[in-house]
Formats: sequence, structure tokens, C-alpha cells
Amino acid sequence: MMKLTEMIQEGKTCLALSGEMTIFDVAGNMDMLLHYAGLHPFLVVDVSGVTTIDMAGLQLLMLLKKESGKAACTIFFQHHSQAVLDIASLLHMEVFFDIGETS
Amino acid sequence: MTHKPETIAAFVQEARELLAAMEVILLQIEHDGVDKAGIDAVFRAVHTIKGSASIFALEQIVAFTHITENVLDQVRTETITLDEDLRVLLLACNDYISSQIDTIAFAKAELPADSQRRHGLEEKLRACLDVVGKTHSGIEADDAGINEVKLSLVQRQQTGVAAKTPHWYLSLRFDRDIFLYGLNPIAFVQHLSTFGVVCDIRVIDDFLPDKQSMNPEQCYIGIEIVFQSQATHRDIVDVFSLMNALGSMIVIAPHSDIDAYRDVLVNFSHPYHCVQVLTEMQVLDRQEMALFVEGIQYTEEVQVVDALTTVAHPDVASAASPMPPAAQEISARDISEHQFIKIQVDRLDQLIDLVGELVIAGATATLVAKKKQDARYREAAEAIAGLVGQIRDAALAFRMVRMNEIFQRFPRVIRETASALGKEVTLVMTGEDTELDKSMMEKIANPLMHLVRNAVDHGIESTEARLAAGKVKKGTITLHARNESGSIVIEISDDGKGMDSQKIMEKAIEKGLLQPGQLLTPAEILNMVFAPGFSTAEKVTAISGRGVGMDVVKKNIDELHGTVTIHSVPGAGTTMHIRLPMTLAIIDGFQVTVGTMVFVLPLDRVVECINLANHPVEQNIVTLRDTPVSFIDMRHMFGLSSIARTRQNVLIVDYAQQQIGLLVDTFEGECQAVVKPMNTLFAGKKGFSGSALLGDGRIALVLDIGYLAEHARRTEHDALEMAQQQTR
Repeated sequence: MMKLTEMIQEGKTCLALSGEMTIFDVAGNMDMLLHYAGLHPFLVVDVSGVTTIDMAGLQLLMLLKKESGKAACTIFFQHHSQAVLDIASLLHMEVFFDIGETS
Repeated sequence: MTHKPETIAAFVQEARELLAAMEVILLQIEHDGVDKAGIDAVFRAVHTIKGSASIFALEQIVAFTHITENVLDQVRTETITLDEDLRVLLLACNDYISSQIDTIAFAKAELPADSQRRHGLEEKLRACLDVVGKTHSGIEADDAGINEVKLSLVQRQQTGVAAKTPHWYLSLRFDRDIFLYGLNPIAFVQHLSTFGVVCDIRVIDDFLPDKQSMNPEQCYIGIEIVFQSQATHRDIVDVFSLMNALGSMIVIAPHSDIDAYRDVLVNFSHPYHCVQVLTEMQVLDRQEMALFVEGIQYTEEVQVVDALTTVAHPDVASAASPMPPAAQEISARDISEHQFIKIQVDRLDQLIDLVGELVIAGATATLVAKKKQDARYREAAEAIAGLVGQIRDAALAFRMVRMNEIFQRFPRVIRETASALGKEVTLVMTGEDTELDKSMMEKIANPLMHLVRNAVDHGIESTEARLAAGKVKKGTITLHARNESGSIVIEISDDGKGMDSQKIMEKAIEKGLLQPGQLLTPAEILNMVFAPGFSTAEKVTAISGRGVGMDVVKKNIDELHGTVTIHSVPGAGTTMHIRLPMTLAIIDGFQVTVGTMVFVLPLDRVVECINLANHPVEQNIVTLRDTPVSFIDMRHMFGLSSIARTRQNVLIVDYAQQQIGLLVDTFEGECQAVVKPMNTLFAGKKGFSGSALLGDGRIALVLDIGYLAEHARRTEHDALEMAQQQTR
């Protein structure tokens, strides 16, 4: 199950994603997730709770970032879980996931 | 049939550009002889106009261009030779089509043709074709030329050069429903890495739809892989068979022909993106990429080359290529015909305005950052300032056009003016690549045209007079443009008889512009020709000499904050020297304060800052490394309060190879200034070229260095005269 939680961190909105982000979870969560595309000029997405992520989940995050970019908004991923670090390393997507940078 | 005005306008603009290009080539042919590539380009220009005209049902243009095209086709196949007569005829056809296009631009539709002129031209064109009919079996099909172009592209596609990369290249695209079959492309990548090293990998989101049309259970992404392995082609394909052929894979072996990589193009939404990925992943090096781009089909080639030259590798287009020189030339022309995007001028102006506002906002942010003393904020503000500077330069570069745009009109003007006057004139042009702001270019075109005509008419002597003076029969006019310390300098020189100071004086006195006995410097005498109502031509000709020209020339140049000066040597010729600022919009400035006022100077004029106390000073002259430089006290100049200065700061600026000093209170350093024109309240006030808004909201006046330099020179001159009088 994929879960979205909105939090306030240091006065800023932060979105926490947790659980599984797979083909079985994307359809039910897409609208809720994409609601955040372009909502805030700078949105931190905490992915520390993501336990599994597959190509469908990744594709959804890519769309989130792409749509935000269209609205001139920035998405910043932080607190990467092992599952996220693994897929980022396998597909050379460290830059996409903002790995190696601090918010 | 009616059309939207803007589509007609686009047609008109395209046709005008093509006609201008055609004219240039036809004139070049006169000089350099017939060249195949040139004739091909002329043929294509006429063909394109015909095609576009037929879309708008402009039947007269279609019919006329059709005959012209037929003749050109015969020239291409070398059935007709392009001799002087035919060249003149083609130029006349060019003029006729131009006039038709002008009518369309004006009336937005075709009007009854100038039938006499048209029939005359058509008859001559037909006569050319008739000659062919007698010696040749007949005229070939219209499209022969187009086939030839295509053929040359198809031939070029086979470069036969092997890529240097020692790695496999895989490009994967998946079936949309692959997830529903329970397959995960990631598994493929993991499996692949069991018998080789994945050197680089890119996830391609080109075909990712927008959120409205997204079905998250379908797969839209692709993967590009650079793979190092001893495996065979078969092994790699076998891995993919795991996917049950739910998708497509392009496998390119190490050291494959560069041509093979072009198969990957279909896997991207835009060829440019493909080029970007192949470059980033270091699959093809720069030279290989040039070959790769060369072979892309015609329409795509243009886009790719365009994107490449501007973004990835500025010099790819000029990189080595195995094509024969002639073919290269054709491709260069193909590209130059299509490389541009047309943008409405007002949109561009809007962008420049916004960039101007951005520069001001950026300066404010930098200022706040400085005050806040927050290192990170300041760092961020500086990064933004750097980018804003780059955006500004890029935005201004949009407006820059090559001098060539005006220069290319001159060969024709000179040729016609000279032949009307029975003179022989050669035109030498240099520095056509110098760039100038588009809006200034439009304003300077007419003055230049006038000066060039004047040079032919008044400057160059008649053939007999030249021979009598021991000169070569043919006169020479030189047009030269160059950049010089933030300005554009345009020079128009002739090797004619020079200007007669005596005659100018007499004329000026006769016209009441000068009092008899008034003493003038040689330069001031020559400058009399710019006075309203002055003309030295003994007889008024159709070309120049109505006396309405030179004062207008001077006025136009003044309006652009430029200067024009004349150097003339009797018997040897005259040079008109025009100096213009490069742009009027945004400048890199240097900020100084005098009293409570802030002034901005163009940074590229600033040579150095000195403390007056460290150098020998006599009155208003400071000796700098053994060179005397006169300086102006800015407080004195602008009547600002004169409290004692703690430090005597002098800014040395450079103008027209002359250095002057400005005595100011403090140096504030570099800044970016958006120059706004002066309010009408200040009209007629000398010494300023505009006002600028600073980051902290203050208004600064932009100093007109040209005027200050002139002021310094005059003060020096007066002081000298006074000293001379005293000694008497």
C-alpha cells in the first residue's frame, strides 16, 4: 500500500511517501500525488518510507517532477530509503532523486 | 479567396528573404563566375516562392515563377549558359517578383499585373527556352531538380565510418501494456548486468503524456544503455526474449557504422533529444556526431543542426566532414535557408523589456543579500545575478543581426548608380559579420545608402578625370564594419577626388551658413556639409545632390547616439566614419557618485581608476605613465556642491581612441543598468545618453562619453587659445 502524508517541516509543506510504489498502487494514488504538481513553488518529498518501487512507481514520480517543472515549481526528494537508493543507482538516476545534495 | 493577414505576411516575408538571397547570388556570380551551388539555390528560391504562392492561389506569381523556374532548370542542367544578358534578365525578373510581392503586402491580394513589363520579361524568358527547344529534345519535368536534391541526401546518408566506441549500445522501448503482463523492465537491466557492465543508462521520458492523458498502469518510458561486455549479439537479444517481445530493442554492436546509430532516432520524440543523449552518454564523439547529423533526413537535419549549434557543441556544424566541397556548400545553403525561427518583433521586445525588469529585480536581490550578511543567501543571489547576466546577453543577442543584412544591398546600388553615371566602380566590403541591434540596423540603412550613393556620385571622378589624375580607371569604394570598445564603427571610403575645403567654405558663405572671415578647423569645414540646406553638387542629379541628404544622415545618426566624422585628403579620397553604440537597451555599467548624484558609465569605456594624488597634475591635465590626459571635474561640470574631497578619484575612460579623465567623489563599482530614454523634460540637455534604474530604486543618469570627450577637447582648445592670447 502506498501512503501520502502532508506535513509541515520548518514552516514548509513537505510530502511524505511511504509503503509500496508499484504497479498495484499507482492507479489509486495518481490523482492525489499529481495534485501536488505545481501546488507549491518548492516542495520537499520525503521518500524515507518507500519500501518497494518499480518502473510504474518511478514513472509516476517522473511525471510528478515533469508536471511541476511545467508550472515552474521544484520538487526535491530527500531522506531516500534503501529501495529508492537501489533503483536510483541501477538506473543512474541520482540527479533525478537529488541524491548527494542537501535540502 | 481570402487569407488571414498573418499567413500572407509570413509568405511575403519568406518571399522577400528568398528574393534577397537570390539577388545576392546573382550578383556574386558576376564577380566569382557561375557556380553550381549558387544556381541550385536560385532555382530553389524561385521554386519555393512558386510553391508558397500556389497555396495562396496567387496565380500571376505562380505563372511567372513557373517560366523563370523553367529557364533556371535549363541553366542547372547546363543546357543554357548563364551569360551576362541572362543574369541581367534574371535580376529584372527578381525585381518584378519583388514588386508583385510588395503589392501583395500592401493590398493583401493580387492586383492586375503590370502587363507590359511582365510580357516583356516573359517573352525574353521564352526566347531562352526556344533556343533550347531547337537544340535540345525538350524541357524535362519540373521535379527533376527536387529528385536531384533528394538523391544527394540519400547518397550522403552512407558515411561508412565506424564509431570509435568499444561498447554496445541498446535502445529499449516497451509495449504500453507490459506492466499488466507482470513484467518489469528493471528486471531486464538487472539481468543484463550479470554478464557485463552497464557503463551508462538513461531513462527516457519523451513519450510520457501529461497528467490528463496519463494511464499510470501503462508504460511510457524507454531505456538507453551503454553496455560493456564480451557477449555476442545473440546473447543480448536472448536476454530480451525474456520480455516475450513486448517491446522493441535496437542493439548496436561496438565499432558499428555511424549510420547504424541513426536507427535510434525513432525512439525519441525529437532528433535533438537523441543527439543530446548520445552526446551525454559519450557514445559518439564530436566528429562522429557531425557525421551522424549530416545523414539525418533533410527536414530533421535542419532541426538537429540548429539545436546542436546552439546548445550541445557550438562547432559541430563546422566539424570535419567527408563530403566533397560542392556538396558541403549545398548543405550549408540548405541550412542557411531554413535555420531560422521567425519571431514577431513585439514578442522579442516584450522579452527584452522583461529581461530589463529582471536585471533590476536581480540587482535589488543582490543588494538585499549584501545587507543581510547571510553568506548562503548572498551566494544564491550571486548565482542568480550571474544567470541573469547570461540571460540578458542571450536575449540581446536575439536582436543582433549581421551587418551583412544591409551590406548585401550595396553591390546592386553601386552597380546601378555607377552605370547611370557612366563610372566604373569596384566595391570592397569587409566586416559583414559584425553585429548590430536590429532596431538600429533599420535606422542606419538609409543613411548608409545615401552615403554610398554620394561616394559614387561626388567622390569617384569620371573615368577621364581619373586617368588624367594618373589613377586606375576603376574607382574603389570600401565598406568596412568592426567592433571597437563597445561601439560599432562603419567606414565608407572612396579613392576619389576628396573634398574641396575651399569650395565648401564658399558654398557655406553663399548659403549664409557661415560668415566671411570666420575661422574654422579643417574638420569643422568638412562638417559644414551636414548643415541643413547644404549641397555642393554643381548640377543636381537624380542620384544625389538635392541637399536634403547629409543633414538627414547626421540627424539619423545623432538619434542613435552615434557620431559621424569625415576624413578627406584632396585628390586621394574621402572616408566617412560612423560610430554607433552596440545596443540601446541594457548595458554593463560602472557606477560613480558625485555629491548626492549617482552616474553610470558604459563599463567597456572604462580604462582605469586612479587616485589623482599619486600622479603629477597641472591644472586639468594629469600625466599618466608619461601621457598627458585631460580630466573634467564632474562637480564643476554639473554645478554640484563643492565640499572638500578626501580622495581625488579619477576615472579614465576611452572614446574614439582618445582618453579623458572624470574627477568624481566615489567609485561604486560595476552594475547592470537598464537604460531608459530621457524624459522630454531633459530634451536638449547635453552630457547624458539616458537614465537608468538602480537596484535600490535610485535613478542614475547615464553619462554620454562622446559629449564629455568633445567637451574636454573644446575646453583644452579654449584654454590653449586663451594662453596664446595672453602671450601676445
